[in-house]
Amino acid sequence: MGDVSDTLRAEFIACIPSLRAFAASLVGVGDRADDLVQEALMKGWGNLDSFTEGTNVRAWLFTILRNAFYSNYRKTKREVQDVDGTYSSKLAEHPQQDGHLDLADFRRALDTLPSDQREALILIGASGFSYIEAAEICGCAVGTVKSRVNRARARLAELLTVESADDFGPDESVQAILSVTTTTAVKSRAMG
Amino acid sequence: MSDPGSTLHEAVNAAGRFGPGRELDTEIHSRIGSQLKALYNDVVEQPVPDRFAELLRRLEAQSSPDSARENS
Repeated sequence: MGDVSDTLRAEFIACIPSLRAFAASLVGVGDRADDLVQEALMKGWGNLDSFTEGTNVRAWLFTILRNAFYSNYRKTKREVQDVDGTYSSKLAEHPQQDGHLDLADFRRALDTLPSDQREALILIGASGFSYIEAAEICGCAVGTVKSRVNRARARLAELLTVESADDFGPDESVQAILSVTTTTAVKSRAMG
Repeated sequence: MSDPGSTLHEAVNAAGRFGPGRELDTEIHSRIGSQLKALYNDVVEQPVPDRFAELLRRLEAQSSPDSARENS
């Protein structure tokens, strides 16, 4: 009669890759992320009676993982990120993949967002949860998730457009003007 | 006598800040989406460490919901 637990075990296993990615977005890629996933799986398994059958196991485990993170890791988050370098150190190995905005640039921009906005953006934009599911995971209103995601996107767009605008070369024209000015100054000095 | 270089620069910035340049706005948003997924999937696609399969076997052996029910 192991059918129920076999199914649940399979469902838990299927959730592990995305739990690891979500954990990595909170504490950085590495053992700490996996410890957080392990804690969530253990708590989930130990509290199966609080799981409503037929609902989304993945969303439920994300909620548990997030709660575990906020109760255990919040205080040391900054320190952990410095030690593990979050996604950034891994991404340094990647060549530029998308024109002049590579993933390392993107990660840096993402890191500047307030954590609630970053989390909402990841749940919606990367984990593929609905706004309703994300609201349940974060324990807030659907409207709050929407506004966090919108603010996160607007801020990233601003950061990334400024970076790509720099690549269009306003600096070059400034430099051209400066070099003309310098040359003229030098010439006029030499002449005078 | 506007400088074509600076016009492009302004258009790109305006798209980011005020949103009238819808095409650039959409482009940057889809870029954000794909970068976000690339970052996330980088971890999703990693092989799952063995510790997790082991952990679940252990959990199941210790306190399977079935055996708990059967024993009660």
